[in-house]
Amino acid sequence: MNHAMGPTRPVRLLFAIGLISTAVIAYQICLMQILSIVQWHHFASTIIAIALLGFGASGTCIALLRLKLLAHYEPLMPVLMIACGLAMVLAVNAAQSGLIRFDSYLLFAEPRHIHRLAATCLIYFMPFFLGALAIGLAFARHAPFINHLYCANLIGSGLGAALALILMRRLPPEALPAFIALTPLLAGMLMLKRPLIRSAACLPICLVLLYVYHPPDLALSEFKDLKRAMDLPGAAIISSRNSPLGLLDIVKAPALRYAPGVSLTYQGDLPVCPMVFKNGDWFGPILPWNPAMRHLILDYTTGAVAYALAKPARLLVLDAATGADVVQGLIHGQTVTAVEPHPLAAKMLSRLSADEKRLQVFPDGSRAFLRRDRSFYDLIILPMANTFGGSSGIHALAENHLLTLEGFTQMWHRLEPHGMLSVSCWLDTPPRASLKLVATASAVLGRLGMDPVKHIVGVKGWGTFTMVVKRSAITPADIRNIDDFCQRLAFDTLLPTGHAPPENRDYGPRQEGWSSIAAGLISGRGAAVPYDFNIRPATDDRPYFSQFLTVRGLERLKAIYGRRMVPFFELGYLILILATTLVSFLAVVLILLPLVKERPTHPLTTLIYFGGLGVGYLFLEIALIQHAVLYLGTPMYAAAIAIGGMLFFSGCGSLASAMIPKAYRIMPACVAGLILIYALGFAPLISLTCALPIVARIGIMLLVVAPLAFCLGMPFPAGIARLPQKDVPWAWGINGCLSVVSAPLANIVAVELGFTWVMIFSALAYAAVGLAVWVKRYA
Amino acid sequence: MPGLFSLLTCLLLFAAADDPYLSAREEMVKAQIVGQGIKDQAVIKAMRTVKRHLFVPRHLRSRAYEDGPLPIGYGQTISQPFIVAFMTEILKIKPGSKVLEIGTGSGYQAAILASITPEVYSVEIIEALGHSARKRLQTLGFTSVQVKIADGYYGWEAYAPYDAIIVTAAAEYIPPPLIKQLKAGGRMIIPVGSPFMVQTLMRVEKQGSKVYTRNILPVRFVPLRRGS
Repeated sequence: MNHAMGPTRPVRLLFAIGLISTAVIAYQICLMQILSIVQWHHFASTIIAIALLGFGASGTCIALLRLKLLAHYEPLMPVLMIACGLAMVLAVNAAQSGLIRFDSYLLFAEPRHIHRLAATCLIYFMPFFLGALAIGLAFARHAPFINHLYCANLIGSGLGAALALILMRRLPPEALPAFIALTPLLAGMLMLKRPLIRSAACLPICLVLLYVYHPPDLALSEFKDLKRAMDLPGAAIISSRNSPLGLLDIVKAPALRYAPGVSLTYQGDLPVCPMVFKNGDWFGPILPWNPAMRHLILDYTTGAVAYALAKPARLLVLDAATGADVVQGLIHGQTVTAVEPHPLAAKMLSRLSADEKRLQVFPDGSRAFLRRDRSFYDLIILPMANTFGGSSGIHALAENHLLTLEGFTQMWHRLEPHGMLSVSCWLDTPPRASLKLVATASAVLGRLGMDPVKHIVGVKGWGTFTMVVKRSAITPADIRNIDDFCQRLAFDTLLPTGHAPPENRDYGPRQEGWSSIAAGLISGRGAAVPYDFNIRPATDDRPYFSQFLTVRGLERLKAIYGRRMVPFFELGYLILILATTLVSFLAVVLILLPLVKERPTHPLTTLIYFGGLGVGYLFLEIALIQHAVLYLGTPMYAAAIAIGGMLFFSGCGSLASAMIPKAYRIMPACVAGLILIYALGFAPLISLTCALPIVARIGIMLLVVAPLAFCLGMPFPAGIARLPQKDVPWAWGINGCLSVVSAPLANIVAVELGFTWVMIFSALAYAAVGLAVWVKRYA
Repeated sequence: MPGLFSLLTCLLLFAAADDPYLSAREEMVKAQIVGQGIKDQAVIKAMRTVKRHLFVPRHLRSRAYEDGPLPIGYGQTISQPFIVAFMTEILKIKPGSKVLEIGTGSGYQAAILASITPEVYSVEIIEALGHSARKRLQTLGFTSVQVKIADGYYGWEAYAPYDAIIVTAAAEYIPPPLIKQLKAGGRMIIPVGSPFMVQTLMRVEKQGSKVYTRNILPVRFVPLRRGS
């Protein structure tokens, strides 16, 4: 242990390891954005999960070729780092080439795209493998300095997260990989000792700089909304700005119109307007507004039903996006408060009206705003709950904190005595989203001791459904107003209110069974009804509104729709399950492979110890991000604070680990206990401090994360320091492999059991680590 | 008689040599069209006659008669055979009916319609798709199909009103000009779902000045209620 403090500490190497760790994490985050743009967010996670196996593979590679690699350590290190930088640039370009480029939608339609997906994963695997190989080799060679090296690794990674966020504000996504690639090149230069060779290494830097200034365009899936819009005649991107919360493109085309589910009685022209796309997905229209406007195309949609009931004085528009609902609110209401987490979108919104008395825009997460805000509103409008035509389950794993029981409850408490909550969705077949909305509202009202029958009313058009939840009981006058509205626009009144409309005109499409299931949900106050899809209300612990698949329903879906169609019901979730299976299989292979060559000294203890650390750390990180999102509002900053904070303080813990005797034995058990305390303590902490300004909340978040992360940083270096040098690469590989498996696995646990269980599993993983050490000691 | 039998065999062999997918198409009609409840003889005949494999990209020809949609580029698909047949059947078109198609795509749906009625007008907004579909339809002898490259929102007023309108790709709105161009008593059909999964069809009916919509669930897509 004393070596760590000795004079021969490889300072240059520590910097190089810090730089390459910075690059790997920054690259991972930027790659996530690029893949979200060209494909979809959850495919991005999947590809990256497989690519990150490079970490595990590096450990396996070093374990198998340890002596040879260590024999050429000096020349190998700079080569690996420079190769890592070059691979970062070339991987993105190679994966975008016509031969390799795959399309998520075509995976189940054209088998060749499965091969392309495999090739894409392999290509993206390379930079991670090369970077991790350099880090792993340094760990193996300088095991006595492991606490310093691991500290450099963790702090570098934390800085990488911050660097990615900064770069995303300044550079377009296609230029990011090349810019980040400069970091491992610098690390490589740092490791080069001869000036002549160092000069020669300038060549790859020049090559990478070329890519920074002339990055190739990103090739989007032909099924992405942005690509389809750009295929329209006369389409042009009039503005494109990147931010950590997503790339916003504004597209203008003569055929781009916005009129979601407009009534068939509407005889006028549908207005052409520019559309905004976020990471290539449709985000919203830019509707013009001026104080002289008296009506809007949205007045002919089901979403206008709330305005037919009352003229609201104060409106709150949550997740306002580009402000279509804000414009409607400005026309029909007196004051509008709009909340939008995307800073660029919020800026666009605030330009709608210079009159601050009429429009106030908060660039914040809607749930964080609701926690803080103490105002009351006549009408709260939520964004559309699903996407038009169904997204084939691509968004099944998208977390939505507004459409949860807790979210609805918060909104309910912000309503004036006669206030209303309005939420719309596209009708889907078989019906899912509309029923889940009804289930959520009914459950909330049931919990609050109200009778949902008296407070919920629904209106259905040919394509959309709008649910209005009123704080006071719905009156016969309300029913008359709704009925007039529906008659004028050929919509149907749907939900039972105890005041049946005079006649059921049935203008809209029939959805067999819908009414009886909705009635069952309302009368049962959201209690589960027999149905083949998951329409149970989402909660903050399981905030997956768009996740409808149930295992028991899968067989029936297969029987009715055919095996080929089933994947398109819940593509995102099925891909996650497939990816987890594949990654787990590869991880097992990578972990077992070194055993063929040489048996480690204590294989089982090493496996449980370093595997448990990998699982526990990642599970905790994912759960903390979830808490941070709710607490801080904007997901990207929340992730940055949670990941960056954890890595930084873990780095400090790693550095301190050498000073704590028997840290390898004590710390895992301490961490397990701490996690359980955190699992119980987070919710009250959030409630107590949610009203504080954002800076204070960030400070509190960091203060909360710090002690836990500090402890988390100790067991790994303490464990490595106890291992014989020959076993270090295997341990590094195990830790890498299980960290990678843990990310998608934690998502599955969150979907099926909730984030509380993610934390509990994290604690159990650390408990297993502690137990393994104690068992080994007393065996 | 043996001579006649030999002649028929020869003719069939020639036909098979000319059309390597003949048996696949027959199998498709048997299993996916007739087997799944399509009864209109004109539709069945059209599905049997039109060579679907010539409407899909070359590398997907071997899969042209499978029970599923296939990509044709530009984020568009050629619908699965059953959906094409089902949409054509519920339009209830007769020889002489005037039909407007919004979204020519590969031209397959237009070819099926043209096998029943000569008056088929098709509008495609994507220039490349429109040109290739027009050329393909001409080459394959569907010369009565008129293809226009334009924004389908406006329909094709010059030939309005139409007995039937078929919108091959779902839109967030039903363009008012299309409703105007639909004859009183006419029908409009719109598939609803994501590109690879048409889950339901929406039928728009114009009765006098009123417009009604109905969800039409294909026979195989029964409601998903436990116990049903």
